[in-house]
Amino acid sequence: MSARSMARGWACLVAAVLWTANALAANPVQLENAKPGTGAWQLTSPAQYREIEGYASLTSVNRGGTISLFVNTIAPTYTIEIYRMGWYGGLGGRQVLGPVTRTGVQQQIPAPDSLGTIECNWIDPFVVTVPNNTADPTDWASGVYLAKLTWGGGGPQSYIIFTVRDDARSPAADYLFQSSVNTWQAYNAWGGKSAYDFNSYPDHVHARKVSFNRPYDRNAGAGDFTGSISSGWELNMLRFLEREGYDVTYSTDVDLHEQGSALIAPHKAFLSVGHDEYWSYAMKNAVQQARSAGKHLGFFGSNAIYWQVRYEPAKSGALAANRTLVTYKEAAQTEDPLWLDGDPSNDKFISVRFRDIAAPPFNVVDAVAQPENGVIGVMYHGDPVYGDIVVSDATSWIYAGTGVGNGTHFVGLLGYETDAMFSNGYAPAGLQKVAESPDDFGFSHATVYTAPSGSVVFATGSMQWSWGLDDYNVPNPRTSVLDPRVQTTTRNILARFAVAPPPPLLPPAGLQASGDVGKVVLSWSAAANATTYNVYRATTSGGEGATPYRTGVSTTSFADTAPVAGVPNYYQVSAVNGAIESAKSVEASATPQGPVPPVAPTNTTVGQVGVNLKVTWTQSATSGITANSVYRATSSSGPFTRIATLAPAVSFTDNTVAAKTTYYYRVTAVGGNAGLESPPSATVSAKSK
Amino acid sequence: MKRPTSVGLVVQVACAALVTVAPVASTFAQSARRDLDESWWAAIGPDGVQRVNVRCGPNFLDPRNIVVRANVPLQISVSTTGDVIGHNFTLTIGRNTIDAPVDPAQKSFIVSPSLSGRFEALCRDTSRPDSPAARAAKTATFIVVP
Repeated sequence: MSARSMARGWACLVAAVLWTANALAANPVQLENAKPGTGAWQLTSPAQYREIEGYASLTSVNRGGTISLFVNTIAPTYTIEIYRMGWYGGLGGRQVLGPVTRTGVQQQIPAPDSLGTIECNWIDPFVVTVPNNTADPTDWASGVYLAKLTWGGGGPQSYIIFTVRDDARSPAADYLFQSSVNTWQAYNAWGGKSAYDFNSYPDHVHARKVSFNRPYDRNAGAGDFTGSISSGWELNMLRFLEREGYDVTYSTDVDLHEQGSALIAPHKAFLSVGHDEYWSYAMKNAVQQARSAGKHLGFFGSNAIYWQVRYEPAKSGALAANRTLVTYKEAAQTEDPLWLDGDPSNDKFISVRFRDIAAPPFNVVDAVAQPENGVIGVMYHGDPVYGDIVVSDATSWIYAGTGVGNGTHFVGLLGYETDAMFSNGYAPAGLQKVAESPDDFGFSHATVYTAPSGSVVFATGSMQWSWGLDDYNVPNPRTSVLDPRVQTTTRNILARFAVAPPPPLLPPAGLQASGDVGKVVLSWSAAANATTYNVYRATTSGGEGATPYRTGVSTTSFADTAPVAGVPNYYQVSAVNGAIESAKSVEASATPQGPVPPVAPTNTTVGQVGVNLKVTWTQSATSGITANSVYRATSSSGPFTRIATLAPAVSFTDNTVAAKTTYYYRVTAVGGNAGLESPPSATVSAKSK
Repeated sequence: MKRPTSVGLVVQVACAALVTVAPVASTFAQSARRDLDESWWAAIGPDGVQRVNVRCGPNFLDPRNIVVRANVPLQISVSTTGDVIGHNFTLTIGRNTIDAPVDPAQKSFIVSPSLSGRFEALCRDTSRPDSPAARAAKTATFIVVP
């Protein structure tokens, strides 16, 4: 081997090592966005009259899975190109497949059924098998994908939108981005019926069930995602995340429903973005469980978790699971079978607003079927709004480095729906208001709080927050409201989200309570990571409540010196570390003791010692004796007079006796648990010389 | 295949229209989405009555926008959160007036709105005047449509 070829070999090796090192250092989003992008994903001739349209068999597909794309067109041929959405140097997409030319198929268009459901059962799909290249996470990287359909040779175009997941990636991405496919489908009026009266025809009566097995109309689906009218909330957030190189992966509402909190578990934070309005019970339960497990939650939108929906299979079996959304909504009280069946066990799934389920007439008592502000911190209160977000707590960590002050306006970032804090009894403990923005309904709010698990939960209270992050859709259909301060705020939040909270504080174990005189003494085992403890007290079992009796206890014991006398006092203890507090311990109880005098000295004797009389006794059996008193009388019935108080002793010589006189003696002990005096000992007597 | 000519495109559009059964979303629909989409659109039950459940809290009256149809009996059921004491629910739609005390137990009122328009409902503190902010927070709008 020549020196030159050896040098080339070394150079190649070094390059390979450097590439590998770079690949190891960069996350898949950074690597993916370093690839060449294209603006060709955009529609240059959007179909105006449904000349070409389609839907996917799934809202998302995991890497390694297959997804079918169904297309309806009278075009003799059409092409499919598939793009992943990202930043790509500002071009916004990267082509991963196509163009593939296919023969057009004119599909059957179903009519709405009696519930307004319009479900297609189309044929001849284009089947995409997503590679599962474990060595290269950028080979069909997790993301939002647009399949661009184009009338053969050029002409009308439309999209089919779907998400690619990467469930098996290890280590998992920091952030999980959820696409609001349920909301897209609820608004989708394709075929004449949506989950809304306003765009349901001909009678303005909305569908009670809507199907994913149909194309989206121009305003929904990809139209909503990209902002063909004036929204684009999700795309603006996505472009910001990918431009900044955050390690993010993608999923949809349906995935959260199907996988529950296990979908969030590998990640550090869950991001609900845009208009994430329609949630199932399982979805809400999943984020509540994730929060309890210390996963951070970011609600970068508004009107989230508003309507509860149920999933049902498609009517046609081929595309079965979770392809239909049950949306009785305002008609639930008179039409939802789960309410009409008289079975209270399933009422928690009624398809009304989450805030309605716990209220009359439904009155469901359930930890999940509750108003959404219990998770988010805020909840929907009005629309339409187009205004400014107004900073109300510039000292919050979220605004670090932004230079904002109280009253600073983030112009144009409030709307079009807004959320507010509600005093309805469900707001999380420690909820902090970081923005208070006037709108037509009073004030909307942005909030942040830290759950007992350490989970940080942030809510913008506004869909338009992401317009401050990215300018796609500027100047049409909207003007720029880009705001570097909002970008910095978002970075602060995402940075906090990237740090997993400390291991959840567990409640102290081994709580013991013992009654003492006038007090109850508690002790427990130290809880890992606790810096202090809170003590809760009640006089009924389970009645400790949410307000600590004592806070800041720095040791693993506590003496309650002011218990309620005469009854059992019940206690629980929690561990605290900063703003994080554990759940409360198992309860322990004790009844404080009253004051108890010592028992009397025993074995009392008296005898002559010269001209004196000497009294002896056995000391009181009570511990803590601090003194003895000697009493004397000249009659067995008294009166007895104390003639001496001694440091603890077992004898006393009376040298004040008169001659030939009979004296009677008693002895007491003083001290014990309350410093009281014992009853007198037995009386003894003797006659002096 | 070449891009269709404009004439060809018209033919194709016409053909495409034949495969559709429903109208394309209208301008009304698009504009309405920006206005009333999250309103409570009272559904008419099998008994011919449209219903809405209203919740009055210390800093809210929910739903905020309620769309009802004129000339259809409307049942308004009002309840309060437990910490709202001494409040009346008030609403006037034409000659229909409600001004009644409310509490955590749901109370129902039936009205027959005949006038189209927007009408303000309020959960009013009867023990003292509401501040402007409290009044704004506890106000809802009934939108009566033909």
